[in-house]
Amino acid sequence: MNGPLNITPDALAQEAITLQQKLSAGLQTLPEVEDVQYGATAKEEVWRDGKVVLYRFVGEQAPTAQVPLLIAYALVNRPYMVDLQADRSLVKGLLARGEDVYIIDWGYPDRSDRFLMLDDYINRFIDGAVDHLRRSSGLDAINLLGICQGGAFSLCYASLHPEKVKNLITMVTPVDFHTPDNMLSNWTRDMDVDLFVDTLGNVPADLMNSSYLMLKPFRLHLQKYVGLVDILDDKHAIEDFLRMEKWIFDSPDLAGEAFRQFIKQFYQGNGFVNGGIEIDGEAVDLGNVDMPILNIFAEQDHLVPPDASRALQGLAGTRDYTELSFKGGHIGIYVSSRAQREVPSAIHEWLGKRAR
Amino acid sequence: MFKSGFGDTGDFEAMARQYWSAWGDAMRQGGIGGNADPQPAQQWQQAVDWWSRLLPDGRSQANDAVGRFNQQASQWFGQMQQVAAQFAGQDASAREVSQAWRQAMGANGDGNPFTDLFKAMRGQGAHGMDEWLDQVKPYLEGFQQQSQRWQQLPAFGQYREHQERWQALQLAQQDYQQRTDALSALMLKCAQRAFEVFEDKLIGHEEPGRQITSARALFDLWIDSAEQAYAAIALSAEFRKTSGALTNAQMRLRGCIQLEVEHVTALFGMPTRTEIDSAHRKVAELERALRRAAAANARPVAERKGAPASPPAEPVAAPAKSRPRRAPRKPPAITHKAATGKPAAKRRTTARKLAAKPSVVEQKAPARRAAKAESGKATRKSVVKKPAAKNPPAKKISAPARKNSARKTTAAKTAPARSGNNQVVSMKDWVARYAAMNTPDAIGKDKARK
Repeated sequence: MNGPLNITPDALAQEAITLQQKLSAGLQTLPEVEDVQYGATAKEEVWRDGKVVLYRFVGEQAPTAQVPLLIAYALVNRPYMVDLQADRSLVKGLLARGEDVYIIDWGYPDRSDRFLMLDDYINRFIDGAVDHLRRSSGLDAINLLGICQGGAFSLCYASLHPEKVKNLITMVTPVDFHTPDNMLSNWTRDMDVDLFVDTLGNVPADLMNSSYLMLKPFRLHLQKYVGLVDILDDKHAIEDFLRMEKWIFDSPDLAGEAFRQFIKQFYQGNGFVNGGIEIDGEAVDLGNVDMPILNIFAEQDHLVPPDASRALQGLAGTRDYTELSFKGGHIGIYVSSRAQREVPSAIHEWLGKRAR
Repeated sequence: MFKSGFGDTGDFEAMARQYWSAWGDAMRQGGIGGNADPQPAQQWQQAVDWWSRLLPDGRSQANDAVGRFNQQASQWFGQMQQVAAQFAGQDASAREVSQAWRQAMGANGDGNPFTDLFKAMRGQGAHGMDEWLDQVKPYLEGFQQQSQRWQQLPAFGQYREHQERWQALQLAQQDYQQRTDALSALMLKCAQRAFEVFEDKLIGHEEPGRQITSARALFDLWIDSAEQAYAAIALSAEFRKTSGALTNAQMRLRGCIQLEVEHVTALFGMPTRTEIDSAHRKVAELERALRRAAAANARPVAERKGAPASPPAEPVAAPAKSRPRRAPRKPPAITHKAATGKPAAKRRTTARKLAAKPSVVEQKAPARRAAKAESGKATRKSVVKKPAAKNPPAKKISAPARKNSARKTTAAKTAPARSGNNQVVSMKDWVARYAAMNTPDAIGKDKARK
């Protein structure tokens, strides 16, 4: 045979029979799958401002680190993104190494939150949480870990309040929004965001999720679900799959005004690079970010291309900058087994060297 | 082949076995030609439909995933099975396989196999919009045909405002349709390119040892091809313009529809979205004003006394401060820069930021101590103090900051307590407490101090 196919009738029939067996098995396993639980680690509320809650994770042993580590994630996610299940939890990994880990839960904004602005998220919620931790720990400054959009917020915060951030870790954080491989950025450039927010108010989560699916529509909408058939005879694999589904589709709506500002200043204006980001009238300058920075990016990130993150090196004012690349994608960096092995230990070791 | 009504797994297995073995027999007898029966794609889809109906309701997460599988993935995969079956046991060229796939997808002429896929991917909100537009489309189109001249006429008289609104709605609907068609045309281009890439990739598998041996592998190759073609277009300026224009057109149309809905609700004395938004805006601005007032109040008295007087200003918006960007950037550094201490001179005072917030709940029970006490019992031996000694705590909070912390604590103590250790400061109390500070004069002074 010289053509591209070498499919025998027997092989094709066998493939079909295997599929049938998987589907049959699914009829047994799927009903047994309970709605899966998320968030593997116990946590307690320590501070609240409206819908925004600061949680402290409670590990199996008391933390040995003296400086609290605060995690700020993207507004489109939920806190369990870093604590999905026992064997896929960055939080567990950090706690096991003695870090004292906190997370800001942004909650689910409703229409009454439409007029929340970036100022509220940065100078009210993050700053409120940071001040709480500074008070409770008796320290001048704490460690801040920003993820994706939360990383961009953390950079703004560190620029505006550098004295309150001891060490800054950014994970898959966009800094240069105009790299040529940034699909989301390309799509927002000709969008009239004023018209968009004036019409929609808050930005529906479904709309955001469809945009993310549209980045790789064939893989995320077709191939992934054909792959589901392969695991129909494995209850635990199905549960893992469903947890990931929840991870991806459980998204809060986005507060309209904050979305408007974020698109204009970051996606359209590329403000970290070009200047022009103002939070409550105060200019954000990455040159002010002078504390040690650990910047972690994912090599196959389709949402935040590596170059978008790596731009931080040339812009931040710090003289202590460390860059780590992770072999994986935007989601794998939180939930893959490689991430569990590499990310918490990298963060812990880096922080340990800067604990003084 | 399959009929609904089979009650349990046993029925499915029996019927499925019967179907698959019939199909397997047909394969072994020389493959499935274009006109042969059974048609795997249809029957695969029937099997999957039937299978998904057998799943019990109530497992919402599992059902959602199955729904997404059944929505389109199974259909596309079924089509690919059919194409694979067509060439099973035969020697076919890359072009022949690619052409067969085109035909299976209905993309030989102007057919656009991507249209339904992208439609299905839109969020719930967009689905609602599409459904609504589909419903009213016949009326709008009929109306359009009759009113093309009317749309261009100037509006006047008692109902001119209404006429203008309706005209705008008509035009927005037309514009939206045109933009939708433009994106569909671009997606057709994308589909055509995807088939070309697919053929190229098939050619790459013509060498012995690299040949494709299953329908699933063929399907995966198609997915790679489609993604590659799509990525090139989605990153283009043409896509940016076309999709941006469609988004904007949809928003204009939504806006016009929302306006009509507001007119109707107002007619019946119901609150409108605009009115509710207006109330929410006021609440957000009030919260911001309170926060600033609280921040100002938390500053050391000496700092406040030294502040120069300033004219009254607009209560909420702060004047834009434009600090010059740091001009000279440091030279490109190696990936890991040496950790060196930075002068602390740049670090600003923290005092003004350490302020109480409206509606802030402080959990006063020291979580750290609680956790230590709890875990200390079980793991006392494993928690060594050595690391703490190695890594001494960061410098303790500075005097002014501590002063502010104390201020905050005192303020919180005077606030009404909700329950247990939670200290709650209600919005009402904050309004009362800071109303005086929220006067234009006070805010003007605050800005001057800043």
